[in-house]
Amino acid sequence: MTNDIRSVVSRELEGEIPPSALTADGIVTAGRKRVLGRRLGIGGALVTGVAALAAGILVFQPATGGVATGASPEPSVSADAAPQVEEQPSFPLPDLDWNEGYSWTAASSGTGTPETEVLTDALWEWIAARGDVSLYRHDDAGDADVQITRDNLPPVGRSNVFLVGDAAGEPAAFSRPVYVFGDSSKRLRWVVDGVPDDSAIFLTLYPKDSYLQGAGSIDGVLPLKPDPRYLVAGCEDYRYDSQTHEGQLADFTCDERTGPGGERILTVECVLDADGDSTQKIVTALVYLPDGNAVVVNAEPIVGHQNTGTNPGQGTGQGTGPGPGLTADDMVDLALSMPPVIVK
Amino acid sequence: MRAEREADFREFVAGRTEALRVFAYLCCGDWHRAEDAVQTALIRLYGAWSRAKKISVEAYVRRIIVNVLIDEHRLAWFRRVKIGGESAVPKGTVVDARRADERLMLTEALQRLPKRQRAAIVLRFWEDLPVEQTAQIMGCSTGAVKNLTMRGLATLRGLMTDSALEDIQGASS
Repeated sequence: MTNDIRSVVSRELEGEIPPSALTADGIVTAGRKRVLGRRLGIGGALVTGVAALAAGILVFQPATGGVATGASPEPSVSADAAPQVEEQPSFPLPDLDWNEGYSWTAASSGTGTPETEVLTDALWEWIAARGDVSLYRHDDAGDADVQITRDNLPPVGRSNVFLVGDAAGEPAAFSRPVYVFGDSSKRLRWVVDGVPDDSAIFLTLYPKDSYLQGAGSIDGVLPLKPDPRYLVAGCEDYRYDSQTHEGQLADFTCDERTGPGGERILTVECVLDADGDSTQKIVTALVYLPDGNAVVVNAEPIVGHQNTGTNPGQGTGQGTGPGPGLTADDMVDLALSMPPVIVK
Repeated sequence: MRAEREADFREFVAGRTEALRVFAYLCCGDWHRAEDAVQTALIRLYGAWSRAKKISVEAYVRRIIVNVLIDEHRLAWFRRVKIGGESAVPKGTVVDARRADERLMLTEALQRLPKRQRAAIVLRFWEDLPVEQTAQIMGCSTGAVKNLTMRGLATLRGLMTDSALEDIQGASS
């Protein structure tokens, strides 16, 4: 059929192609202007940097034993210097044979930075503004779950995650910083509208260029795992891959939309028919920000947690509830509420 | 850019512009938007031409065109939704094979496809690219390309009437 489509389209377009206004001269002229503009931009930044360096040398000369000028030792800013805006650094994925079974692994638990503090504040503001959302921490040793307030809210942390191959001892191929909120031990419970949630909620901010946009999966059993280059599995791949796992995939929904600031937004909801009479729902909301970073909010079922019914933070256990109390739209809203920060 | 490199670039522009315009047109269904996308891609290519031997020029240009058209289409869709709440092109419209302008049947049916399905079909069957290269250009997995293609072809079959399908050997099977 491929050749047929090509020949039919060729026949249909015969004589229908309008004349073009594009010329090699026009393209070359515009291309030169673009290249020149970029060079001037870089040159301008260099000139600014050299000027700032020169100013710094003058300012700090007395302190380094240079000729005293009588200038104040306080750092000064020239009157016409523009405030410096930090740009999001790029973390481009390496050129690898991606069929070699790479996966991500975190090197350490998260640490606090000024950027993660901003995110923690924003996260709490979102929770407080909702009114119908509260958080609890389950404590095995305690009598009751502890309600989370701003004071004991687990902060967003910065971690370095490494891309490693499946061969033992192989050095990491790449690393990227990420800012993460969430409790990997899954003791943090969300209660939405008075109903304990069976899902653990995670929020992760990824840096520019350290991922490919869209959904991509690796082959394997459901639930699908993201191809290491992507931030979410699913969409088209669910239907495609599920053909070999009949009966396990109960439903899936993928949606793509554009946010108020032009952000590309993906949501993926996958319902797994765990054992014939119970389901597990996995929801992921993904927002690609204009600065190149991406926010992922995802809800994973908490499996095997016993429910005593005595604590507000405890779920119904076994991951058999109706899914996360937060809807995909809630998660998109949460992701969009994160202020732009530099991931570094 | 050195003179001989610029001459190579001019030769590429002169030789490939029309094919790229047709490719862009099939991806968007509008000659003006297609020309804008090709212009954007070629201007960006000028800046990358010194690296031309290190990159696949054809794939690079097609990727820019696809990205430009998909982004533009997405924003346009967003604006339509906000204002009217209705898609500009009614869904499920069957292209009438007996209409007077019978020559545009397949290209019109292509424009009824969702944009990513359409891009996959055009890259696979018009540009005759393998799945892997199509995935690279579209920034998605090979599995996604296969599924987009499969669904796109199924949709095309549903959109076209039997008489139109007779022109395309094997499409109705």
